[in-house]
Amino acid sequence: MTSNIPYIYEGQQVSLRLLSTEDIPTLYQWRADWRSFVLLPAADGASTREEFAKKWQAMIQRTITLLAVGARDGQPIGLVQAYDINLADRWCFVLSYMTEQRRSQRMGIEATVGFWDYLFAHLNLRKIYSDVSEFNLGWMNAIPGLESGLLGREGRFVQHTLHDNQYWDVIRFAVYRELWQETRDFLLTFVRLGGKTAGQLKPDEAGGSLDSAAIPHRSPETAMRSLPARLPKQRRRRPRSQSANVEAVRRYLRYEREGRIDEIMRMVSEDIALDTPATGPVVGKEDVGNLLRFRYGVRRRAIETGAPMHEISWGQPEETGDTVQIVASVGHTGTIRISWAFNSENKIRSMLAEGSGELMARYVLSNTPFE
Amino acid sequence: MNKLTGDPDSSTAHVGQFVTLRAVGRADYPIFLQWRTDIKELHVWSSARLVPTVEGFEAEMDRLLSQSTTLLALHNQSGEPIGFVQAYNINPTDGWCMLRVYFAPEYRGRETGIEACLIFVDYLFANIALRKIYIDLPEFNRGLLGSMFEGGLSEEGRFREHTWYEGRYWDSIRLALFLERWPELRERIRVTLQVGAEAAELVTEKQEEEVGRTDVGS
Repeated sequence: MTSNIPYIYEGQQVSLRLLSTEDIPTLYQWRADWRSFVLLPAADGASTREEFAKKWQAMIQRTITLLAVGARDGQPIGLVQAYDINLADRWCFVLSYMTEQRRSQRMGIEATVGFWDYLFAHLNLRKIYSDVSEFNLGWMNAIPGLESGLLGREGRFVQHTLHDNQYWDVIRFAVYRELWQETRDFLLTFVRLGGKTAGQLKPDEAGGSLDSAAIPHRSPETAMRSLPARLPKQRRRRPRSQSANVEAVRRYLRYEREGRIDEIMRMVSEDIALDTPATGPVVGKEDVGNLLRFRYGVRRRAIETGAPMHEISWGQPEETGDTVQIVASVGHTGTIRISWAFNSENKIRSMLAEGSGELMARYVLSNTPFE
Repeated sequence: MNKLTGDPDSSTAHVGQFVTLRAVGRADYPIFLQWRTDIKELHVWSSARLVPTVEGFEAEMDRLLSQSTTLLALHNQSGEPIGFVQAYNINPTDGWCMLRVYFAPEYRGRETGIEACLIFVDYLFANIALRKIYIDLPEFNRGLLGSMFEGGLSEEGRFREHTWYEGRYWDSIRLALFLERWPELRERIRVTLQVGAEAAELVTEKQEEEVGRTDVGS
């Protein structure tokens, strides 16, 4: 019976499908696991399987709940749910649950991101909220720049929930439609490849298709052709010349301008050689991750101040001593100058942005994800 | 017997200086219907902004009362209902609940509404094992509880462009009150209300004196 249920999202590691009554025993088993009790949507007061089934039937009427299954074997591994759906003000809340065995395998992030795309595309929402307990924030590290570039923190409910003998804060995050549209291509491709590039995938791992009408279909062959067949050979990191830093920034911006998301993904996920393997300096993936985080942060701040996104233009990077500077213009609203300072090992040790006009932003980055 | 609603006097009435809180009965449904169908206030009741039928409203109220603790606020002088206070989403495991407050527009930000909140919050902390109370206020409703009350709460969230009202989106502010903070805030509000009541009496006396002098003079 479950094999006839349509899939809403078919991904690399995880797919999402509608629930059936045959799934209730699995949900009941998850709910009964006291270790995961606090993570699952509540069906309170249900002491028997029959009561639980009734409450879940009622909950499903009020929500959009999809079962997450392994893409290869179709086995249930978790669920995603949109609840408190407010079509008048055009927002809803989303929660994701993965079984404990699957939590470190990036499946939760793929299910969540796929579900966001479905909701934005088909419910015409402006905003999606998620309430995340402080002990459960690790999943955000799966994608560099996810929190700073896409998720806005709109609340911290102090000592809100009891778990493991102590009270934890709950953070309320918000994903806005405008930012989602800007980042979806990158995020969907990134999570479909499980955070790996083609060189790290086995031959049968590449592929996956998306059933949502809003997402352009990419065949596995297309995805594979645009990525290197294998990882570049890892080089011992050598101090690099200052010009390599400039080149890294210039290259990143060119990729972004040309929409070469796969190349950006490579820069984020692995060290790459700028020159020939024999002589080339290596650009650290953390540095490019920082660039990516900053870039999305600028975009978010621009949206908050009402600057038109398409009018952001970047100048050429310039070097002064150990600092690389670049100026971005944002339409007629002002400019922002970003300076990266590199340490003796040529890693970015700080980043400073100053703006003029209506766009004022100030970020300092020092080897930690900035906010 | 309550002259306005015909309900028997409630044994659970909480009487303050300006306002009395008591449990809601079916005889109170007409005033709730009046508030419910105010088209300027639909966002308080329904995210879909729907206006219910009478039958639909009664079913809605039955459900609302069964899922919350709701007390009607009556003005002590006139006996008129002026609004209600409600605790919903009561979470006994984590020890918090949400507070909803509704007052007719002419009573917002005034001592009657502030005292109603004072009595109700005190009741909640005293009778339910709560550590914390939240209230979500749309930005266009800041001042509903009075600056005295709201100033004693901590802001734990600002949900940007959360509610559509009068042609645009407004932020919604989440305010929180921990049990530990309540005794100090309660006393401050009580003292302020008391001072305000005494000042009002003095003003009234003075006005009566003026009228008396005018009568004598004429």
